Amino acid sequence: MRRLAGITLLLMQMAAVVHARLVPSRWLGAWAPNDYAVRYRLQVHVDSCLLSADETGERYGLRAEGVYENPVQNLMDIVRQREETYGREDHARVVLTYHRNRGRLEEWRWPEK
Amino acid sequence: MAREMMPSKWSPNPFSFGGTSLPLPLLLAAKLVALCLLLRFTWRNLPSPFLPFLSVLDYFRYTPLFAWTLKMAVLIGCAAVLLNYRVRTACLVTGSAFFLGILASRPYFENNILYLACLLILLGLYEPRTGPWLIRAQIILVFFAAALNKLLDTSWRSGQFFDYWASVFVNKSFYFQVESWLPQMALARLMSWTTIAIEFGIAVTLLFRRSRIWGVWLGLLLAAGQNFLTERTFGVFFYVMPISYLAFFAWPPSGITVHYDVDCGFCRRIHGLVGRLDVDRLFAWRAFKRGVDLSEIPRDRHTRRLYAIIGEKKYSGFAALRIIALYFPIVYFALLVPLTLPQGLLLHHRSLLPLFFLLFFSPIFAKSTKLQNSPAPAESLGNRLQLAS
Repeated sequence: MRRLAGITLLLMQMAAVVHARLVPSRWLGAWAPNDYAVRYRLQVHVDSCLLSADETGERYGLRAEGVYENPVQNLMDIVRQREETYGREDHARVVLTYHRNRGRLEEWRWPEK
Repeated sequence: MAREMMPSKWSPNPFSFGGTSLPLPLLLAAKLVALCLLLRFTWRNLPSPFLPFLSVLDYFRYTPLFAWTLKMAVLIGCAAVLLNYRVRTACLVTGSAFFLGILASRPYFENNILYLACLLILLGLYEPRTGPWLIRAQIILVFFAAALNKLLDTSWRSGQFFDYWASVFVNKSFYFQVESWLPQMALARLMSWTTIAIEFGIAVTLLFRRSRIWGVWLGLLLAAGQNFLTERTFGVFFYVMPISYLAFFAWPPSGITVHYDVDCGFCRRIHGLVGRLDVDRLFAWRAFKRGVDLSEIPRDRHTRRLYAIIGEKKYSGFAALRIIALYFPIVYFALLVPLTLPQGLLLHHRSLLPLFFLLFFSPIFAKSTKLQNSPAPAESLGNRLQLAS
């Protein structure tokens, strides 16, 4: 029984590794530790008020700006989940500005069009 | 789940490794991980549910008890592991607490915490029939997946990632000095491909018995090198990954016999120190006087020295001391503790410690010779551990 549980845990991870090849995010079991360097900044407007860095950090459990060592898709997933659940009534407008490895500056906005 | 074997005699001594349901290397790994979690206060960051992977956990979002329960589970689990109490269950509880913490909060997710959780869970699921293969497979999988992810990423292949990442995280000026001597992107590309090759190399060499030691050395060098360049521990990765390599090794079943010259003050001090702390009697000490024949060592080879004998292999002098250190579990605790100290306490030279430790245990000091006469069979290690507990 123990062996079966252990094998199941490993097989789930293998499935996650394969799944990671098909999606841009890297979450549980994808095993891409510190493989990314995304410099980002989050700007959030709620009721036309710009949130401070501390308020932004508290809203998403992340710093308002910094270098993120997971794919930028992970950041988007966090923002999306926050705004679709706890922040559904806030109608927040979020701008995520980022670049990957000194590449061109990119922008992602919530709500997504 | 199979009922955990109760030790014949429970010993709450953290430096005792006998009489539990985990073999010595895995129990040592579990204790080192537990100590690391306590010294690094890793348990303090366990979260309350916030943007969970499983939406059902949001039910506990405003319940402080959730986070406190996880923290207490980790603290109690670590204490139980260190005190040899139901060690497999304790590992399972501790690992599950971290896993639940990750499931409860996306922002809390970090690969090093997930690896910690998986390692502890697999230690908890250990069965003598399977041996340590689940843990070995976990380590191989992590390195293979990490190498594959890098290989398939264009910014890793081009060196662009490493070039930017180094500018943010590498804090050794000599790195940038070397970079300035080379064509643009040459060093970044070299570091990228070296990392990919090393990670694939670790995954492959760990698969086979003969090459396993090289895989472990590659892994240790990779961790030490990353720590030296950046002075980062990558969460608990820097500690937990090297600790988990213990799953690839076994202590000599026949134990280790140590012959020491009674006229050698240093040898007597080593005997005194190790003998006092060797709770499980992993070492059998035999004193000799120079000029008296020992069956294992010819009289004309006697000097004021230490001899360590494992099976048919004999080590003398510094190599013997190294072997004693390698198989003396308390040494691993002594290596771990300074590495967990804050940088400032070690004048920001903590990253030199792993390099020093690696040099000490380096294979260049591992010369052994075959015995001319086989020694009398020592009491088996298994018996000694039973008796010790």
